[in-house]
Amino acid sequence: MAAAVGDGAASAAGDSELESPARTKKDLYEARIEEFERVLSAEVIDLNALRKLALGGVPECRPGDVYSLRARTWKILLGHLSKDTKTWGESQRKRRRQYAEFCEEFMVDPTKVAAESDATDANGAASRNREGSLSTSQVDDDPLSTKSDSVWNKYFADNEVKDQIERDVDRTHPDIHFFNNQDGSSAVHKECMKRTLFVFAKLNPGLKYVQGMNELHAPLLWTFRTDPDEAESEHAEADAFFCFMEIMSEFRDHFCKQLDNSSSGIRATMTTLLGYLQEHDYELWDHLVNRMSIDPQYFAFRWITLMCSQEFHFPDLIRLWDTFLADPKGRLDSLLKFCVAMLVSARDLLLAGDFASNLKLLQSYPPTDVNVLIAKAQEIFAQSKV
Amino acid sequence: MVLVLCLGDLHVPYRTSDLPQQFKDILLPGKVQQILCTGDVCSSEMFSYLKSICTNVHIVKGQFDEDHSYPETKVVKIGDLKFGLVHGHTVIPWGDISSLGMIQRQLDVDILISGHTHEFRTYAYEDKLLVNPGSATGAYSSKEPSTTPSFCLFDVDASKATIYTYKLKDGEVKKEKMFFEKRG
Repeated sequence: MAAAVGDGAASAAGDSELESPARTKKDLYEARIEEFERVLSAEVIDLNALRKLALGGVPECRPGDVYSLRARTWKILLGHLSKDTKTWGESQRKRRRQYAEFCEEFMVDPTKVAAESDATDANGAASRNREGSLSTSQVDDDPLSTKSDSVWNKYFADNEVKDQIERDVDRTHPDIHFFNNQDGSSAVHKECMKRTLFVFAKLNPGLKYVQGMNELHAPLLWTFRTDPDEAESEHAEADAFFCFMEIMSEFRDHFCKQLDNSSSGIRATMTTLLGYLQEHDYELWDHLVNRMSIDPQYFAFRWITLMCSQEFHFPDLIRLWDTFLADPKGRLDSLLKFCVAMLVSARDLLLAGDFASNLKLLQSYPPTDVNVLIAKAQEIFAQSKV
Repeated sequence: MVLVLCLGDLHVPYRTSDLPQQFKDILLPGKVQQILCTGDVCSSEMFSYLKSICTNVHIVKGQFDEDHSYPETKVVKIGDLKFGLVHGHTVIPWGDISSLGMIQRQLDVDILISGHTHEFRTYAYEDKLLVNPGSATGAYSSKEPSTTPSFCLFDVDASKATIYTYKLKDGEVKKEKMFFEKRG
C-alpha cells in the first residue's frame, strides 16, 4: 500500500462501503502503521519500499509505542543505519563511541589540562602552604599566551565560535516546549545542540559554524530524543550528530560565503529553482523575475539554506522532512520542487500583487497545509522528465 | 575557572608614561573576567585602559590617585576564595607581614592583595596568602629608583588558585607559576 498523500482521504468515503466492511480513516491509518512496521522489521530493509511509504509521511508516535517509526526511518534514510539490520548494534556502538571521543577531544577546559600536568609535579603538594614565599614552578602554558599551540589561546578562540552557537541555539524554536521550557529539560537539549554544533565546527575548520546550521539540526534532535525506545533516545545526541553531518554534506556549500557564486553555491541552487519555475509555470516566473524583478535571494535564500524551517510550524516541518529525506531523487531536489509548489500555490495572490505585497507574501508565507503543498509538488513534477 | 588579573602602582603619567609594550601585547580584552587593582594608576585614562581589558575592575585608593572616589579597601568573593584589596601606603611599616596580617584579619579574607612597595612578593601563612603584584610599569618607589615591572594572574577554581606571575626582565616577559589552596 504505497500511499501518496491524497489516497487516505479519497478512498475513505466513496467505494469503501460497497467493497468491504466500512474502512474508516482510522483503519487505513492503522494499516499504514502496520505497513511501516512490516518494512522496518525485515532483516534486510527494502529501501525503495521505505522511501515510497515515507514520502506520504511517517505516522506519529502514540502512547504505548515501543519505538518511533519516524526516528528509525530517518536513521535508515540518512544512512546512519544500513539496510542490513544485523550490522546495527555494532555500527551504532562504534559511532556513539566516536562521538564521545570527539566531545572529549574538543571540549577542553584549560584549567583541568594545567591541573593534570601539575599533579605530576612531585614537589608541588608537599611544599604548598608552608609559611613563607610560595614556591614557584615552571610555566609551559599560561592564560595570556598568544602562542598558536597554547591550550589557553585555542580555548579563547573557541569561545568566539561557542558564543555564536549559543546565540543561535537560544533562539531555536522558542515556541516548542522541547526547546524552551522552565523545568530544565530544554536546557539539557540546548547543551546537546551546542556540543554537536561545536564538534561540527571543530571538524570543519574551513567552514566552522555559520548562523542557521542550528535549524538543520533541531528536527533531528527532537525526533531522536522523543523516541519511546529508551535505548535509542539515550543516544539521541550522537545519532543526531551523524545524521546532521550527512545532511550538511549535501547542503554545506550553501553556508560558505566564498562559494556563493560557484556552481555548488547558493546562487546556483536558486537559479535551478527559478529554472524549474520557468519550466512549469512560465507566467508566474515571468511575473516574478521580469515584471517584478524580485531577486530570489530575498526569499529563496532562506527557504533553501534552512530547508523551509522558518516558513512552517514545527510539526509541519517534521512532516516536510519525511518527504525531503525519502525522495529518491535526493533531498535538495525534493526541497526545490517543494519551493516551486509553494510559489505556484500562491500564484493568484502573487500575480495580482505588486512588488511590495509579493515580497511580503514570499517572506512570510501564508499558513498553508503542508500536505497540500507536497501533493502539489508531486502533481507538478509527475509529468516532467525531471 | 575564573581568571583574575592583579596589578597596580602604575603611576601614569607622573612616574612612567605607559605599561611596557610587552605587557600590553599580552593583556588582550576578552580573556580575564575580573581585575583587582591595588591603586596608584593615577590618571583616569589609565583606568579607562584597564576597563578596556575587562569591564569588571575592582580598585582601591592609592597615595597619588586622582580619582578620590575609590574606596580604601575592598573585598571580592571569587569562587570559594575571598580576596581583599588595599593599596598599602596606610599600612605601616610598609610591607610588614604582621601589619598586613592585621588588615587581613580585619577584612576576613583568604588572600590579601596589596601594593605600594612596587616589589613583587607572595607570603603564605596559616592557610592565608599575602600577594603584592608589584608595579606593572616598573615605576620608582619611595625606596627604589627603578623596579621590575610585574603583575600576576589568578586562575581560580573553587577553593584552589593557580597564580601566574609575569615579570619583565631584560626586555622579555618571564613567567612563573604558584599554587594556593584553601583548606578547611
